[in-house]
Amino acid sequence: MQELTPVISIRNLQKSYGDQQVLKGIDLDIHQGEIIGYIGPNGAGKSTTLKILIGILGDFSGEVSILGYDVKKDAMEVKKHIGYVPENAMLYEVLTPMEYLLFIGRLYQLEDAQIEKRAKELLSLFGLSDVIDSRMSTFSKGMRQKVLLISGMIHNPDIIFLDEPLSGLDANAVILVKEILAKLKKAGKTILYSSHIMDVVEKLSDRIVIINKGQIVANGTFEELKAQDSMSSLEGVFGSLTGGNHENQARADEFIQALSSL
Amino acid sequence: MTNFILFILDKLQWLFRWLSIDYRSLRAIVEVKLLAENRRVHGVQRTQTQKKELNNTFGKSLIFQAFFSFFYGITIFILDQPLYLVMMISFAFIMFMVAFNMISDFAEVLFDTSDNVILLPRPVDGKVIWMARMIHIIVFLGMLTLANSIGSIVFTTIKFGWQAGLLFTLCVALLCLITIFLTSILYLLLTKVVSEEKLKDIIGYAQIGFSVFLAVGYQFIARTDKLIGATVQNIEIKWWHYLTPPAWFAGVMESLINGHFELPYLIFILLVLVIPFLSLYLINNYLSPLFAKNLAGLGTPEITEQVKKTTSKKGFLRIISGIFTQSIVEKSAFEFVWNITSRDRKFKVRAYPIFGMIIYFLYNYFTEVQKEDFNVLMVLYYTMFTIWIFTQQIYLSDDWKAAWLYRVTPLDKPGEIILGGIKSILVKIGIPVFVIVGTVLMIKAGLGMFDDILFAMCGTLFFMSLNIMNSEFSMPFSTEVSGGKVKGSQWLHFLILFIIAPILGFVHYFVAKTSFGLIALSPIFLIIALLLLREYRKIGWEKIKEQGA
Repeated sequence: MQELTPVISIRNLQKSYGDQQVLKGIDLDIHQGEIIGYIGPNGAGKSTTLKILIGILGDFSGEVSILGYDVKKDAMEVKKHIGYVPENAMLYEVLTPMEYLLFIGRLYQLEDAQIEKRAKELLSLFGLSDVIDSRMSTFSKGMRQKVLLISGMIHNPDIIFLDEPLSGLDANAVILVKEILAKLKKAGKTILYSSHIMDVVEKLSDRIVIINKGQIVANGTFEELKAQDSMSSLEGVFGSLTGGNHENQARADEFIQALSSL
Repeated sequence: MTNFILFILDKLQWLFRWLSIDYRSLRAIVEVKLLAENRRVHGVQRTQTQKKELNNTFGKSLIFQAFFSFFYGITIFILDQPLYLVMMISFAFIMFMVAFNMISDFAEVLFDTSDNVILLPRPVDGKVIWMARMIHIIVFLGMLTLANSIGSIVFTTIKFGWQAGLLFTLCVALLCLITIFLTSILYLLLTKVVSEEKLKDIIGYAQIGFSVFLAVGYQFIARTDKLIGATVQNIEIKWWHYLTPPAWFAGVMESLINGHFELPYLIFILLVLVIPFLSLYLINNYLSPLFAKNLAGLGTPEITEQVKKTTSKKGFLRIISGIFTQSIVEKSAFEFVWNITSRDRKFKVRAYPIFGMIIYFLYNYFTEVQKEDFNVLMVLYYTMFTIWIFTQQIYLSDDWKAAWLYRVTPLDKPGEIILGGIKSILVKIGIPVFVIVGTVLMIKAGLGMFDDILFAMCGTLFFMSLNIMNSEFSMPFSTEVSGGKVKGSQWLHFLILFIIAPILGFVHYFVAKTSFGLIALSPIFLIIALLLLREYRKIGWEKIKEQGA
């Protein structure tokens, strides 16, 4: 059944900015109900991949389809069925959370009553019911992140893309988000997220995809990756695949030496 | 220039020691601030493209302002009045300029919390941070003031001799200091009394007030020709002159140049010498510790503040947006633009001063004798033009990065958003402004004015709808304020609009001579406008300017 046709399918995806090739042929299938951790060092091409998947970056080569829709040709259809929460995203601060969510919800063609009901419930689940009608300019980073998370899910998308979803959240909120992601998976949603926090990726993902210099260097469950590289932690796997482990040791030593030099 | 200022600071080390300020950290902070300032975009440069790295931006803007200072400095040369009066006018003008610049540009510098993250965790005294900000402000306002008064200095030298010119320069410097100190005292006291958000609101409204005042003020200054050739007045020192700094400096000039050493002049000299240092001392010892305390508190969220219930207004807005829009997306944009324009402080500061000139034209209309034709048209078509400029403001925002949401959501007709935004402004600003202007006009000229106003309203709508001919559009609040680029093709449209506005005026003028022309022509304009506005819905993504990405 569903397992046979992937909800996200990427074939030989390449993308260049000028003469710099950012993605050098990515192949990836993601099935319904999977939680994928998409990780890689800074500048590896994570955000570029995400931008292509959500249909806002059109000039790439290769084939990318989501839920059977071609991302290039049917970007609008794709956008209707996915949710996206960017990293460090800005929002219109002078609005209240309710007004902002109402605006976003309407762009997804939802009815006002429905948006308001959902927004109210979701905001109060995140403990924001007191500030539902106050302007977001006074909000802390974590509060804004909560609003952004809601704005990415308010239309009940089938696939959710998250870029550093836990940044700025307090410990309780982090646990809550993790639980939510697990429940979403149970409800048949597919989640692809990127993060730099290895512990989180380790615990949360069904499958981990590591990308380095525009290419996928690892793709499998945490157990598989550990076995493959005979490492005990994801950090170790990540380091050995993206070429950091030995170098980092030496650098750390030099760092300490430089600090104590006169 | 930075090195020169640091050199002067080095020479003034004793002053900072006297105020018990750690000079090394002060110097470090000031150096960085000056570097950053010189890479920032200033006033007139905002229209330039921003691709290349900016250098010496401040110097260039100074040269520009210095050039213009000659145009208003010439008043000194032309006015045939006693030195005291002429100087009072010049100093008042300069003081006004300093205060204006301080409020419009430097209020933000003063309350900028962005370097808190960098400075507060370091072992730096709050007083040092405060002093660094003061120096930053003094340096740049000082240069700005000097640039703005260079014309006056030259003309003073020509008319009253080089000693007068030199003294004038000195006075300008001291006046600048006094203005800065007095304004900061006012600020610091305000921070004590009101919350940060409130204060920003107050500053915002002060900025609007100042800009309106400036726009209108220039028009009245342009009429000072009435003073030229008037009979020479005698110097009369009134009691309130002791309270107004421009009078002090005018007194000093009069005293030292013309050799008056009577009591009033001595008081003036004393005030000029004592007040700057007194206020510096006051600020440093009593107000800046307070500032440091407030600063640490700034920028932290105050959730308890203003949990305003907006439900009643919401219902009202829903009804209006329902009446004027046809799709969910359009309605959404209508309310979105409506809400942001009533809240965004920076938007208000940018947009509302535009209406200042209408006041001037209305004033003109009421005072001039030949009331009928021309002045009415000026009022009506300036109103039209104002509304158009106002509409252009909705594309700019400090939160322009938040516009990513347009690309992410399944929005296949971005034109609906733009149309919703335009409608929002027309209903919120256009209609009320026309009603007010119309009422004022009818108060003087009677109900016969009605067809003129109706025609102008339809004309405005027509004028607005012509923007559909643009080749490129922006989404509401998606463009960076400082980076507003104007491309060649758009200039062409500006030109067309500048020509079309007067043409509408001419049509109005001639049609008004017939008895029912205006009433008959109005619906035609209205229908064309509505048809053109419908075209907005068809704007596709290919015509939307790509932002940043």
